[in-house]
Amino acid sequence: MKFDYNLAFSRNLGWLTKQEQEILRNKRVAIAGMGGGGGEYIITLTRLGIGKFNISDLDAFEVGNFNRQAGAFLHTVGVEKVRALEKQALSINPELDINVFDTGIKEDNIPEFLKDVDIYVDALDVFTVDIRIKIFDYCHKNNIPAITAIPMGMGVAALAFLPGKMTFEEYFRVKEKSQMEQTLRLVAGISPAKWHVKYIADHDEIDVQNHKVPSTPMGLKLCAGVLGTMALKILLKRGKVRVAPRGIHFDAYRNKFKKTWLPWGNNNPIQKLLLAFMRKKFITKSNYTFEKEQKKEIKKKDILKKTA
Amino acid sequence: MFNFDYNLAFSRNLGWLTKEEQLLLKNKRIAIAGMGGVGGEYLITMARLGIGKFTISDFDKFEVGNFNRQAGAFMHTIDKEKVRSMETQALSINPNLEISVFDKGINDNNLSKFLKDIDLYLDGLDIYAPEIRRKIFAYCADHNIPAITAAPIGMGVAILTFLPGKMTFEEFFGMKGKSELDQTIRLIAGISTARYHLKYVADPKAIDFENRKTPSTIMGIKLCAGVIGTTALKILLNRGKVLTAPRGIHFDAYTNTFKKTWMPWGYKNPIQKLIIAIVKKKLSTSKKRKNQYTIHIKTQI
Repeated sequence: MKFDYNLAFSRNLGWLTKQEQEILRNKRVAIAGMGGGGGEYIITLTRLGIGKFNISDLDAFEVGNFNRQAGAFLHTVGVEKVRALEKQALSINPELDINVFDTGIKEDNIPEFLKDVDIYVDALDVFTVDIRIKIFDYCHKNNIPAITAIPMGMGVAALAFLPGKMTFEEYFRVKEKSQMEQTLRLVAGISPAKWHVKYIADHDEIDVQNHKVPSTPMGLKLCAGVLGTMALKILLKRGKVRVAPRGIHFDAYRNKFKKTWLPWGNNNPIQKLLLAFMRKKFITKSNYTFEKEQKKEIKKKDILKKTA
Repeated sequence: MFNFDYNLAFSRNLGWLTKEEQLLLKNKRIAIAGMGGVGGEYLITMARLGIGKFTISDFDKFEVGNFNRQAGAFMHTIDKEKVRSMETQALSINPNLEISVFDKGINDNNLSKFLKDIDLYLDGLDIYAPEIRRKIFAYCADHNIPAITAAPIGMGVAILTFLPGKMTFEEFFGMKGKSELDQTIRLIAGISTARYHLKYVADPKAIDFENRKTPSTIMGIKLCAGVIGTTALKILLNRGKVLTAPRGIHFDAYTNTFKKTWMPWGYKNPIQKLIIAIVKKKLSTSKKRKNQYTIHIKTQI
């Protein structure tokens, strides 16, 4: 069976005009990270009919990804994430033009990664902050719209950074902070509403210090729906896009929606209070458990000494 | 080949779920009728959530026209049965899944077999199958099976949940004994009471109810999966507050609007009666216009 672009994406028409579909066909989207968010985004945008992608990741799929990552299957365990998703996207649209960056993004390949890109879709994990700042910086300097979303429990919080508007750094204020502090600021900045906190089922499973945070497939599907729509609006220049410091947060568990607004971003006085509170709760809590474990080990050694 | 480890595969759900809850989900059975746009996405979402048993149905095969939105539509699945492709895909997420496949679709004869021993029904039928949908929901209501339906509306989602002992699908939509067109109108009018999507229809000519051609976006379907998956989790684990019909939600990612919908008495509500009448009129005038247009063209020829 032969592939026919117009037939494959014909059922978008109505929500898109034929001309708009043709515009999308000629757009290039860069997505950094092919894990939970990134995998969903490339599949979503491919089915929307976007014609060109730049994608990156340095990891391979493993069984622990199965609960949420669009490319994680038994037959892709051990396969590079970028390659598995490239293949999956090509089997939706074999005419796709995909540039693959299989060693991830570093400072020196950012310009190549973002070359001729119409929009950047952020899908790095929450603990990758340094390179994220640099990517957003580059986007701002080169007038590339950049959007980001985080799956919060069974919800989604999203922000858009457009040329000439507030920048990522102006909003999050993460430059030259410790990694822990950066992650905290990222999470607190993107979801000032914090609805998800109320339905955490098991706090012991969340370990920010060891980069272990849970994530649901529902949160990721919502991210894909919201970011895909945002990308469409920006690429086709239609509809009103909420730009940072304004964003949205939708929680399917609590059935709540909020148009978020955080003037001055993380420099907002009320936000500073929230950050101080979170710092105390998470960082000191994990420091505390760390100390507790150290004490336990000392005790063990003492007992061993005594028995010896 | 390595050993598949359920606990490892779904370990990252923990935190949002407890270990005990994850085990509960492993032993639940969900039925999904329809493996197209929403149905396919639901199966994958629920398989990744760690549900252990499914009953699925569809009688169609994948074609190129499905590529813009259906989770199982790929070059290598063209002309393959949707149920079989989706079964394969789900099994490659969790090879220990127990899946009952109904490859001839659902009819009066196999309805009770399809819904046997299930904990929840997720509606993945397309909008043009109102009669069998009505029957499935009626069976669920009679047998105390929770049932959820969500519709991708433009770049948004509207959802309604029907729980045992609450308002039924029939009480809400009033479809029994109506013509198919009437049923479809009632379905559309009932589920999208907020109608945010009408503001951004780009090309009204592409919407053709008569020929069963309505547009649909992948974003709408992803939102459906996120919302219905969450509602399913809450019902199966008996936690959190679930909005049941005549209450529902409508979230639109394009207009950034959200509404907790509420249509007391369902189709019997005077406002809803008016809406149904308006939708009916709109459809019939667009049909008339189309007919006049074709006559006009024919006479010109």
